[in-house]
Amino acid sequence: MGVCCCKEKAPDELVALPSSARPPAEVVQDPPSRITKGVDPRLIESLIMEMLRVAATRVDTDDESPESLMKLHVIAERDDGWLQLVTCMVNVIPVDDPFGPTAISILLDECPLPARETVINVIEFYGLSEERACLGNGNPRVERNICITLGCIAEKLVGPNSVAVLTEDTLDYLVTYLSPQYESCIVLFALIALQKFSHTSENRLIIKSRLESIQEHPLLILETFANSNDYVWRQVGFCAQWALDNIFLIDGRVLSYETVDVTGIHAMLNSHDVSEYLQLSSNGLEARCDSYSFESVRCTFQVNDGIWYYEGVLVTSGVMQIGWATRNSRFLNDEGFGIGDDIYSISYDGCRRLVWYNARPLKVQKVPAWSPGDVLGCLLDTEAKEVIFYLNGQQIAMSKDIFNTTRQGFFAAASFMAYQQCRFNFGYEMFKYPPTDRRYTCFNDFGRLTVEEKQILPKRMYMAQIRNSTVQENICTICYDGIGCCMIEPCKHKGTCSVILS
Amino acid sequence: MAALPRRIIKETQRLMQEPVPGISAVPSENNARYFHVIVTGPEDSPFEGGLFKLELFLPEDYPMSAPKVRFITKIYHPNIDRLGRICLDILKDKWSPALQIRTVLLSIQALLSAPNPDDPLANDVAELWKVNESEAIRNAKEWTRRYAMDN
Repeated sequence: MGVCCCKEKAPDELVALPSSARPPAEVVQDPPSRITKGVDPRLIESLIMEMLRVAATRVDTDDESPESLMKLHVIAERDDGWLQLVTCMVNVIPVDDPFGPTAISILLDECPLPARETVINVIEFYGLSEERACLGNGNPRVERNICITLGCIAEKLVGPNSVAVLTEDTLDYLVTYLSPQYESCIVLFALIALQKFSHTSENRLIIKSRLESIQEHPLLILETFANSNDYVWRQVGFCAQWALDNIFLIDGRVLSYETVDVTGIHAMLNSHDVSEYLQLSSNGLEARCDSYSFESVRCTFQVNDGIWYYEGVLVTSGVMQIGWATRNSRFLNDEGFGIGDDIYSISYDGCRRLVWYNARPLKVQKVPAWSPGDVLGCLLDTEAKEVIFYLNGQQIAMSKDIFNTTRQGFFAAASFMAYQQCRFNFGYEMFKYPPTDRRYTCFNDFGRLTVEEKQILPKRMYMAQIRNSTVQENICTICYDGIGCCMIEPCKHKGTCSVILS
Repeated sequence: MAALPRRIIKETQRLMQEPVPGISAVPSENNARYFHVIVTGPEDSPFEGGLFKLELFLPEDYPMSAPKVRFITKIYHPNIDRLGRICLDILKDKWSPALQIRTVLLSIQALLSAPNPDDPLANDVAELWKVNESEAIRNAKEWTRRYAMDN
């Protein structure tokens, strides 16, 4: 079975790029001679910057790809063009642009697959090594962008090619950065790159033993930053802890879910109601996404009526959609749909300054873009039928839309783009900016969770549970949930359940 | 990790217990919906001898919608584009929940045996396949040697 069906639009052949008569501009380093400079790097760099600007304002995922992005794809079709694109990206993407890291992911994800030699060329081109890392603070932008790029390549080429890319030198380069003496933004993305390389089991074992060979395990040092008030170091701490619990386990280290004190916590992010790649802290109050997909989560506490308030403390300032959802809202992480992208959920995205409902954005006027440390307040009032968003105590938007479809069964919920992180306060701590114009309640005062429900197990343990679970016989051959009791007329096919047939 | 549908658990267990010849599909260690796939190039095809890496992802509403599959190894094929995207009807409008991961992967393997240049995704490849099949097959063999063989 399975016939080819290319009725869907195959990408049209693109118009050739204007060839520039200007001589190629100098790049930071002289590339090895085998890298030909096909297109003027200045042109590529300006296309990248344009794409960055467009990405920040683009809201409709159905839109055609921006023209700059299409042009960059054409350039990347040739192996030397791909290499050029990578080097230009590394040169120009600014550290302080909240879209920067995501832009690198987007560009690489939508480009033609590179050959292994091309990727190896990147490593040789940059002369990645321990020595290079030691000099790294000289230009944090370039080093950070190299780390982001390595992570994207590892994610994209998972398997034998990822093993080939993680040479001794690449490993030296990345591991050297796992130290508080370097710029936090480089440390963060070096750690994320190592996590992404470890998606390939062989690499995971290599990295794990390498980390353990160092006198003081670098992740144990970095883990101590998990509660830092510096928002980049805090991310480093979060990632280090997550990696220690999930990927690079150390004999004798107690997993954080076993030591974390959750006695006073009665509402948290629901580890059974979250899309695959979102990472949750062991106390269930902080979430992070490092995957190139739109990851979502709902809170454990269900609201049916009354006035409820919670706060999100932003650790990063990129695209997140934080607000309210119901059980009917779906987490289509791979398609970029999350909270606010259906009629059963509403959210605020303070990076682009948009209120989202039914995947339609409404621009909020005269409000600054959010930044790390800002507090997003979310209020749901079923009596007045209002959802209100506040930024640092200032009301920024009010919407009644969600009450068109929903009267009860609300959950606090949020979606995250790549490299975003947020901490949630459902009332376990004092609110920073409690609403003053109405009496409200908070989830933590009314929630009840069993000891098991509060446990956020490492994914590895959860996967083991799945492997060992059994599925009984005589059940529906489609969903394996219901009993396969129905027969379809007129073909007399048996074995499906009534839910599937309906 | 929203509660994983039993259907996925069952399929995963069966893939492990009774693997399909020439195909390996292993779930990721951290994501039960993401599979690392390796398809061996079918005998008597230009892809013979190659090991092709693919990724397969089961979306939230699987099995009501099709798995998302793409090649990670570069391949010269009229129905597979430069990004590794595959043109196969059962991955799009001909999807049925009665199909499974294994049937999808078998179909992809069959597509390697029987390229269909009349319904192309990679236009330049399809064009050559139509006007000069022997050269196209030579290219496909060359790409297989360069990108799909470990040496």
